[in-house]
Amino acid sequence: MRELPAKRLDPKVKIVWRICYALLVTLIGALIMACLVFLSSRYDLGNAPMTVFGIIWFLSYVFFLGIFPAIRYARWRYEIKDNYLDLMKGGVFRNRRHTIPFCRVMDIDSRQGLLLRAFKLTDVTVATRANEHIVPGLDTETAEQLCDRINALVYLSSKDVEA
Amino acid sequence: MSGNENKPTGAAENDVAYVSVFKTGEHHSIQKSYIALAPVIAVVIGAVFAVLHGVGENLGQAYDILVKLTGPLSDLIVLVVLIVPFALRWRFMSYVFEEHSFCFHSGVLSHHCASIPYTQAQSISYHASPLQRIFGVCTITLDRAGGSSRKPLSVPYVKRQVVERICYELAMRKSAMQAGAIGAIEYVPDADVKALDDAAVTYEYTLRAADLFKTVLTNEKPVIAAFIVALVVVTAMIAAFLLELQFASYIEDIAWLIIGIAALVVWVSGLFPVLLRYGGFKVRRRGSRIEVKHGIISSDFTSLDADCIQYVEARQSMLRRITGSCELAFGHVTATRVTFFVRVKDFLLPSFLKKKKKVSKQADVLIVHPFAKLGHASEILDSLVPELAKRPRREDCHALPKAALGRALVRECVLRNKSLRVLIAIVITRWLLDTFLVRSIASINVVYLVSYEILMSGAVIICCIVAVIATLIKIPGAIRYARRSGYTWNDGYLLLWSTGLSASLSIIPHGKIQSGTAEVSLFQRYKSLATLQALTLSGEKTVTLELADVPQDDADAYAEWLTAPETARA
Repeated sequence: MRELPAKRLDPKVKIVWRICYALLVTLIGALIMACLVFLSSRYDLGNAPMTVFGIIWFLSYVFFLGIFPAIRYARWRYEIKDNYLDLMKGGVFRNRRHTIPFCRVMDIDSRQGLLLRAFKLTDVTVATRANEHIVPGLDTETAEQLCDRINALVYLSSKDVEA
Repeated sequence: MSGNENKPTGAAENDVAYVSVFKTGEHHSIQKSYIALAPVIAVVIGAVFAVLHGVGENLGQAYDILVKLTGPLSDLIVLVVLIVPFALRWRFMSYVFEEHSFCFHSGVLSHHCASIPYTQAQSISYHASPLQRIFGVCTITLDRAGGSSRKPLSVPYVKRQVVERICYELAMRKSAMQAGAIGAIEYVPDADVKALDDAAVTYEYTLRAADLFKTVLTNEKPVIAAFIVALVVVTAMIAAFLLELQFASYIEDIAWLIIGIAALVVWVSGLFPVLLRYGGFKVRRRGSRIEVKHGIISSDFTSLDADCIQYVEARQSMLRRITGSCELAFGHVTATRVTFFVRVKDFLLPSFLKKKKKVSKQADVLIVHPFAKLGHASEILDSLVPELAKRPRREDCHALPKAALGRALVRECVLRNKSLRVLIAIVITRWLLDTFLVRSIASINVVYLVSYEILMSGAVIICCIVAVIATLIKIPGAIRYARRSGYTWNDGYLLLWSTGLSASLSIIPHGKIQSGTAEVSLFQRYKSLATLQALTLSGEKTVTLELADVPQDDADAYAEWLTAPETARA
């Protein structure tokens, strides 16, 4: 079996993910709870629906803030090989390992939103003609080095550009 | 081989003369019928739009006011208002063959020039609507590399005779540029394009009437539509009987007749679009291009360079398995399409709204043979695309491991079983409604409660029956998948063979695979299996060709093959 890619993401990316998931779960949960409160008052459904949903909402917080970011961080790895980029990512149920030959790479971008900027992190996007692959949550300096290294290897690789 | 296929006529000569039929830099106008036809179509679309939005009456009133003000000149004024904009547009539309690119100029107030370098043209196609066919014109579309980020170049209202000259000229200039012989192009205005092009035809096939008939009958979309309609009618009838509706007693004796007629009508009406699409189907290999022409009422033509083929697929639906035939298709890159309706709307809308227009999507693959006998499919591919001669064959495939059987049964019968998901959704919905809403319904009206109970029970029973039948049908498909599917690769190509109730054989050139993925699910992890994926391009989007339950070691070997330089691949 192939060795796993050697490098990991910056640990601070877990905090970014937790903040994003917290906002998302809060927004969606509040919306659903508001609907349930309205329906309960209108159709006399009692407190049972809101109680059940409240438990689900709490468990969602536990999962998305406590468990899922840790699993996701543990699964995420990347490595630059001689002529390809090796990415491995996954969640609870599924792992994906992407092999991107440098001769297929069209663009390399780096992005830093407000939240990432607060933690001095950057996302690097490697695009082929087919799709994009994002390496999230890298330290800014590491991201720059990654972009430079990939750019250099893409330039050097044999351009098998078939239209 | 079918009787009306031409045998190869011989290879092209080595010292090819690049004969041009269009002078470089000379502008050519589109057909004048644009001035007459385009307003007609715009008026029809505008009238439909007005009726749908309820402003037809307002337009009628406006016309009455115009008649009162201008008298007999009103019709002339309307004609002028309709025709002048299109006449102006026609005046400023032209296409030109420049030294390195094909350009289309347009725009009245702001000039727009869309150009495609000859080497970037992926495929050339033309489409003639029924109205355009009457006037002998069509719209040419050139797809360019870049997929969804680049719009195609469309030249409207070109005479059919000129289209062949344009297609020839584009292909000639592309091959001249690739050979570095752009200076050797010789302009011969009266050259016979047919003679120049016919000499390069190495394969030709016309769909016979019998094969067209079989293609139409074995197309699965009308069958699926008929099945869904029959299911809906059966469900409605059962609901009517359960609720003891008045008309239920009248239709009790003829229930099956009604179901049969409904399904038959839907099936037969679904056959006509297929017949109109594949009527007159013709495929040809001309030089380095594959040309496909089809359509009875509206005509479609596509010319694709052999080196622009992203992947080859032989597809076999359940019905095609019975007839022992398959459909051959080539994946190729197209750009985002703008249909004529969008174009007219674009013309009518003010500029600040144009950015929000939605573009339609083009078909993903080019079907080169809608009804190929399985035994002949390989020969057809060898004749049509000799470049693929070194591809691996299905007989060389590695079989899936034994553990794939259990995985296939779980995947097909449980995870991908849509009828099972619908059943689970209905059971959960019923439980939620019973728990939280039944009290409210009962307090309103007991009759509603009885009706609700009958309907929900009936829905659960019907969904159960459908789920059981669907699962029983999927079991042999899953067994077949695990036992017969396979994969292999050699130095130039990856071959994925996936079979079940339907079958699909995909051949992807190494150079067209944009990236490879090995996906491992929770269940696959314990069996050391993986899903092998190859990402390539087709249409304006990414296409993922995959095969599930490949041994993990082979998935790793695939990744190494994908990244190995050409000399090291085996």
